[in-house]
Amino acid sequence: MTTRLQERRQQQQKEHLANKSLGVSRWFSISMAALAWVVAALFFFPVFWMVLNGFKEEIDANTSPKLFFDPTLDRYSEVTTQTQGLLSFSEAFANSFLIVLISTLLVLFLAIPAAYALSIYPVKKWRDVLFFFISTKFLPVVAAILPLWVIAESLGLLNTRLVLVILYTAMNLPLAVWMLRSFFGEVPRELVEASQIDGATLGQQIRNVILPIVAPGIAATALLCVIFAWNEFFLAVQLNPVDGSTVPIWVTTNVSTRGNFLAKLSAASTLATLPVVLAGWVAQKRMIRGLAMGAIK
Amino acid sequence: MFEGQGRKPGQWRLMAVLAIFALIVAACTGDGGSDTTDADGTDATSGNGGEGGEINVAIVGNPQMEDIAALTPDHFTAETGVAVNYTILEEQTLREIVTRDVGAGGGVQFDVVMIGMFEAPQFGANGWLVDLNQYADGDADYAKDDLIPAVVGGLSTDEGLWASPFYAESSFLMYRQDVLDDAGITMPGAPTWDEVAEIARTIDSDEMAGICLRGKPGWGDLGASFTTVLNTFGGTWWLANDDGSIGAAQVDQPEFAEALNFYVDLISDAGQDDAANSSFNECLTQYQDGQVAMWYDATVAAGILESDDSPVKGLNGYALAPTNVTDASGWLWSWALAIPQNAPDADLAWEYVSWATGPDYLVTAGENLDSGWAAVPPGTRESLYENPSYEAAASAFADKTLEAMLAAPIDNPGTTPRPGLPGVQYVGVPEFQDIGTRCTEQFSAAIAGQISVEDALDSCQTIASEVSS
Repeated sequence: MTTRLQERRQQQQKEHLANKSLGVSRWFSISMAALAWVVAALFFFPVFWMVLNGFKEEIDANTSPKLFFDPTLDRYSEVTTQTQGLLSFSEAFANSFLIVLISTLLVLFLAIPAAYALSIYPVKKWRDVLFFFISTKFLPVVAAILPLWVIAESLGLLNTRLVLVILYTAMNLPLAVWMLRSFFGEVPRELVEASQIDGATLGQQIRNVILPIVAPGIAATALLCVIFAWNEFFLAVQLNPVDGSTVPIWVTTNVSTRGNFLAKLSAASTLATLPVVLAGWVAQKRMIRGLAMGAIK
Repeated sequence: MFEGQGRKPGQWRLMAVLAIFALIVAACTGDGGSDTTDADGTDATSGNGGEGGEINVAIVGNPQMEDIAALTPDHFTAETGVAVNYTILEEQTLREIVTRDVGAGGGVQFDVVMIGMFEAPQFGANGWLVDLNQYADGDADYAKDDLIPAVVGGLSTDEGLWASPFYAESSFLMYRQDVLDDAGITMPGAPTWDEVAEIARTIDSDEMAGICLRGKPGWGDLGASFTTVLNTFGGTWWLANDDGSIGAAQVDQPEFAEALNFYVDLISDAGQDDAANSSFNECLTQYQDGQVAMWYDATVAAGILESDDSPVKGLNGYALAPTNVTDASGWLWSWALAIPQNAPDADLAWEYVSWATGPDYLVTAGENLDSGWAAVPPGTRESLYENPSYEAAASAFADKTLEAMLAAPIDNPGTTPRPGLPGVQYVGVPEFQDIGTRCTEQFSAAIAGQISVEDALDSCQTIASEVSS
């Protein structure tokens, strides 16, 4: 009898503890979710405020923070007005679009075979090769700008889109190789071997077996390359201030040394970020799948 | 299983290579020019390829500079056939790029560059710029004698005139006349800093700060404002050696400490909120919003305060820059157009410079800009201040601005010999950009209350001594 009672009490105690821990974990989850929302709101707030400021008059944007105001599109009209001889939004957008597109295609064209050679059938000393790729990112770009400028000047590449295509390709290539290599590592070796038994050539292996599997990873890599190239300012302003100027340079033309410019700059910044946000939104699912696939594992 | 699927591998490869090649060709052939539209909405061709030639001009982002870009096609290119491609850059970026361009390459990318009064004598002495006297002396339309002498002095050395002023400013005190009237206070036309400080402390309240002074680090921000105070308190950053080079640092001298203590105490007692992050634009905002009663800054601000859309239009008074032991203390600054020594066609470049900085441009701007005469580039020519249209539009501040410009002590801003003259609110040596910025970081921290004035002075003395010889 006593034993039964003891067992019952122990059972009750266990249930009580289990319920208690369930409660704790639920509260913990709710707290963490709330914290995540707060952090997300904090991160998003500057973007929200930038978008909001773009619809204000300068005086409203620069005085005490105003959440309610008479919205206007005048700032967007101002920043997109074209003046002969001045860098316009459409010109900067066209330059950025072309430079980013070509450099990203070139990066993928070079990085996919490199990633294959470093993961599916690794070449000799593949670790050293991998380290070499990433070591090209060690040098701060500011330390290299003068030699780059001198080389570009002597080759007649200053103020051409080509110079930025070359540099953005070089800038994104190490990152792409590293990312793609880890995606390629996820491809089952048996599939590749099976395709070899079926007589697939190297090109067919990559195109018909590997690429369909790592497509989300390639999309994620491409999107990151697009983002980095689209937002790059330093090299663009140093090498292409006269012609072939990109969107980040156009944004800074709206900064004034004398007089308020916050609303105008916010409108310009919103326009500048839209293409990347849209690209991210369109590629969201693939990108998440891609990132979950291997790179950030 | 792989045979015969879709296109042949060779075809795909060929198409991919062709596509990439086509894109690269497209990238290489374009130089960024595109069809554009005039500011008035009429179609126009690209800025490239004018019949009379083409020049590239680098300018700083500023309302007056944007105006000239809008007026150029109809009023310069149409007359001369010379197309002008403008590159507008933020101030610090412009400095970096122009310094490298004229210093390393002698005008590789730009035919005309906009530089400040700080750079003009130094670049000229380095042999990087064309002496404009050779053109200006023989150009009747340019009217060199009409230029305000102090501005010409700041852009020249004994060897030549290195840049032609497009826009110039001094500093003065702006105040809310209505607020002072309500308080029964009269502001002298040429006040001392003690008088200004007393007024600021008297009218300071929870709703409205007494005065707005720059506190943001930077040799051109807090550095400019504070150095005028330092000068008139009898202090200097460095002594000058016999050969004019930088001598012993003077930050540890009593005059320097007195000036900095005065500046920090005034902001602490009667200054604006968030003073350590305030410069021209922040003070402008607070003044227009009625958060401050007085503001010591660039004379060009008056044009913004008195513009039609300003909430404080007609409510302001203006007084000369406050002094202490010197007769005048206002600064002098100009954005000016210079021609790099190796510019491809200096004659063509001068044709543009002569138009952009000549007296006729001021009339063109006054008659054609939507914002009218009050928005023309001020401070460069005496004839502007004799123009009835300008006098009518800028009556509230024109006379005081001219008085401030003429009074600016460009060749002798303080009481002791110093290096880097001409220059009022800066020391005209390359080292000042770095030293001034690092020291004003210390001063700004003192304004924010993060460190004491004594500690800021000690740190700055160490920093300034790095370049003493």
